[in-house]
Amino acid sequence: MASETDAKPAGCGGAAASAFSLEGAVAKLSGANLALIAVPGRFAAAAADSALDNGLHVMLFSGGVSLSDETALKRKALDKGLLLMGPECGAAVINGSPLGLANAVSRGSVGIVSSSASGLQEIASIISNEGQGISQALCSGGRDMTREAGGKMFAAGLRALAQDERTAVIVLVSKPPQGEVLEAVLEQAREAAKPIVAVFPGGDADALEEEGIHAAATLEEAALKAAALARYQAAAAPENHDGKSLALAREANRYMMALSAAGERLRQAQTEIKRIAFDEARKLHKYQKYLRGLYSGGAFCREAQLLLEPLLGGVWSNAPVSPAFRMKDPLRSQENTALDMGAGAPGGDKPHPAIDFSARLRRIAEEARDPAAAVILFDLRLGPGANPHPLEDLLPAVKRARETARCEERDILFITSVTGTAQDPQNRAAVIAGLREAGVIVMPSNAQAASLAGHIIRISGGI
Amino acid sequence: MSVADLFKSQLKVVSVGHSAFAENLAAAGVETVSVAWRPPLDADPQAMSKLRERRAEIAAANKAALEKMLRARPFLTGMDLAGETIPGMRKNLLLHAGPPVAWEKMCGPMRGAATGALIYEGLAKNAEEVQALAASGAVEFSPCHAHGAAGPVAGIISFSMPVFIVENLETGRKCFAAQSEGPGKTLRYGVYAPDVLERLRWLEKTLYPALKAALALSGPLDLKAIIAQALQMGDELHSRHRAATSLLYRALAPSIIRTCVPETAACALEFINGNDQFFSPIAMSAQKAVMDAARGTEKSSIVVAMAKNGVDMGIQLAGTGEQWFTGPSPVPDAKFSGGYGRADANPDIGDSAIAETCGLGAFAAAAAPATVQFIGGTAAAMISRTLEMREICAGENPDWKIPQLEFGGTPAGIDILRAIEKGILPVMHTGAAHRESGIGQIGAGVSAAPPEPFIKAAQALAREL
Repeated sequence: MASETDAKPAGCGGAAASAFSLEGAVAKLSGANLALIAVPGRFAAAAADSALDNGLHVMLFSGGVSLSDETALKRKALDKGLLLMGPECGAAVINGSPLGLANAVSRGSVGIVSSSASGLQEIASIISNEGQGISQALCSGGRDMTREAGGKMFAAGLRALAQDERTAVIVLVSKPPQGEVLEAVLEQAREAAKPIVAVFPGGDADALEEEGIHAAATLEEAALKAAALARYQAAAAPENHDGKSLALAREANRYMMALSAAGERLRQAQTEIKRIAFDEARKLHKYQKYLRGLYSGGAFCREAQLLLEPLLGGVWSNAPVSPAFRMKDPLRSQENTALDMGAGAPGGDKPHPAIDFSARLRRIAEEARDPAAAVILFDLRLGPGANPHPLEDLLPAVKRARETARCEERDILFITSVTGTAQDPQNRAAVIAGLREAGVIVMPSNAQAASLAGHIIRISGGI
Repeated sequence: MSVADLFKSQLKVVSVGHSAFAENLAAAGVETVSVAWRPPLDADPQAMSKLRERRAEIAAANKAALEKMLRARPFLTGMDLAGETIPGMRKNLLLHAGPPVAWEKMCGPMRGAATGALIYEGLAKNAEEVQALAASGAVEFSPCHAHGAAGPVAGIISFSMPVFIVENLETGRKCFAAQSEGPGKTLRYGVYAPDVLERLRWLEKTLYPALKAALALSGPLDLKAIIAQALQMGDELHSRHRAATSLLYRALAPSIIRTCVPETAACALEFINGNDQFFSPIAMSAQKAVMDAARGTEKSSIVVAMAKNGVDMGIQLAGTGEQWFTGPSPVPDAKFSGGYGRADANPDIGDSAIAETCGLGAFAAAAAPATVQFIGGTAAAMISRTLEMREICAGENPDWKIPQLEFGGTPAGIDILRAIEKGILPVMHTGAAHRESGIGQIGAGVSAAPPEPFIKAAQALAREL
């Protein structure tokens, strides 16, 4: 290419330069190393393929890519030593830069490999808010960890973090992998000479602990444990790694203390949750028995179901943990329901619910009309790529829903957690303050929000 | 770059689709280029996968086709009557613009031009007689492109019309085009009023002998060189020929004066001076000579002709012989004049898109900011247009440089695979004709090619492989 008169100087915190094609962009951006692809699903595989041919690592935000295309793309990527994150890779943090829906988090020593974007966001944000930071956060896409796809990119991500000098602690996030997929992950984990925290909610924790992996039941627990270990690693003096047995024993002791401190915080939180639940349940009538979860993140929806089931029994969902509780019609909630509003877009073409709230706002209005609904539970994801005005969009809908309920002389509780950081453009503290002012109960994590909702329903429903 | 290297490098992102992600990264100081992504054309998946598999062969063929184009040396060597010089020309044959079209299907402006040409040839006295004659099947029609010619707008060439002869000295192949009639009411826009026919006779009886003699004296004129200079002077060689016409005037004036009586010489020079489009048919012949050089390059996905008959637009490929691939001709987005609007305009018509086929016209828009005054748009958009069209071309023409692009070459060799995969269709500069015969030009602007010809051409090329 000769001249590029429409080029603007890149990298000066201004507007992005533009090109008419991927090749044109590569020619324009010397040293380009990653393609972020967010195009309608049926065109996504071709775009990703072309990016790999141009030697770029790929973050494939799009969904609607067939398994065979995904397999072929990942084979090509691995042959070339490239990452192919996705399809449906909603968020990643590379070299400190949030991509897609990821939050603006601090740079640090914790590396994340996740099969889900919301799981990655929750863990990265909590770690950042705990004063630690993220070295790299990679997202394999949800299907990567299924038996069909074989967990190849997840394992490749783990290998990359094991070799990365900046990464001192590794967090793995996924639905529980099975059989060969689990084995492939464990094999990589054995080779990594770094502490690993895994959150495979609903999976076999003992099997992980036997491998020396710290198992966490919730995203929050994984984040707190990883932050504790990162803090410990930073404080550990290098001379203590020289193999002297006394020093090693002391270190091991401190290491375990760091972990148990994290556990203690979570136990205290549970006590607090029960107290709040008791107060809040008093605002409800006896006939208000059910919660309605409206999630933008698949990992959040799944985590909520796993936490609610022991408290309330089965939870209906369009993405159920128990197959028997698959909703007959995702448009109509029944009893206790947790809806994954980002799931099942056939072409991957509908607007993402973390960016465009309209579907959720309509649903809030519908749920409020149901006299049996006691709690509306939802996630709220901040970040440069998410909805820039969450309060402006959400609060009027919350207010209207409450008015609907009040006309029938009942109240309806809104419970949420805000995934994000002070660095996010929406500012987590400001969003939390705005929500509380509007009467929304804001919990520190998705797990705590779900747990609180479960306890309230237990009390109100007389379970 | 390995993953380990990525982690140690500065992140540099190419963002495809959803532009907000790119803007966020750029705002955070990450070097980012955002691709204005468009869906690819809806081409036959089987044909496309075959073409992708054989991509290396196609690329080699395209390289060969491009070399033939770039080696072409079009020279204006002389003039003659169509009947004397165009292969296959007959008294009852009319050549027309675009892919083949029967009399019954012809649009208003083409029927008007054919009517005028048949009256001019003395084969009919009026429109009624033309109608009867054409309906009887006694008049034959054939595309200009099938006879080495290119015709603007309706593109009608009849037996007695004088034509320029442009020869590619590299191959000896000749191309032809009729003289420009000048501004105002013209046959090419479908007007066959008495004054239009009178001008055609003047072109034949007065201007043609003068120019023919002058050219014989001056010797062949290097059109590649004139086009190269005109690009530096603000022409894009489709809608604007003011510079090229001026250069031709300078080249021919001494010979015209030496070979004609003073009054004839003065009239000829006045006519050229008063007609900024005088160079247009000569440019089209030169452009066709360049593209004809690439014809018949097996396996090549390069377009060698884009032409419109006012109903359909057709394209031909270097690798698929004389076949036309057609789709509905678009109505131009034009700056209209005389109180007319888009509803009055005929679908695009003419062979002049040979300019774009050759990498000039809209493809060289960046060189011609002044054209926005009559085709509309902005100077910045003209630069963007050339950059966009470059995306679908196999290469650049190093001899035709665009000052506004730091003397980068004009795009060369439209590759249908690039067009299909990138979802970028060729844009063409054009004049807008009124849809009824007898009214004429009502504006000038741009039109975008329809997708069908490219999709059909890909299927045919896949069959050839």
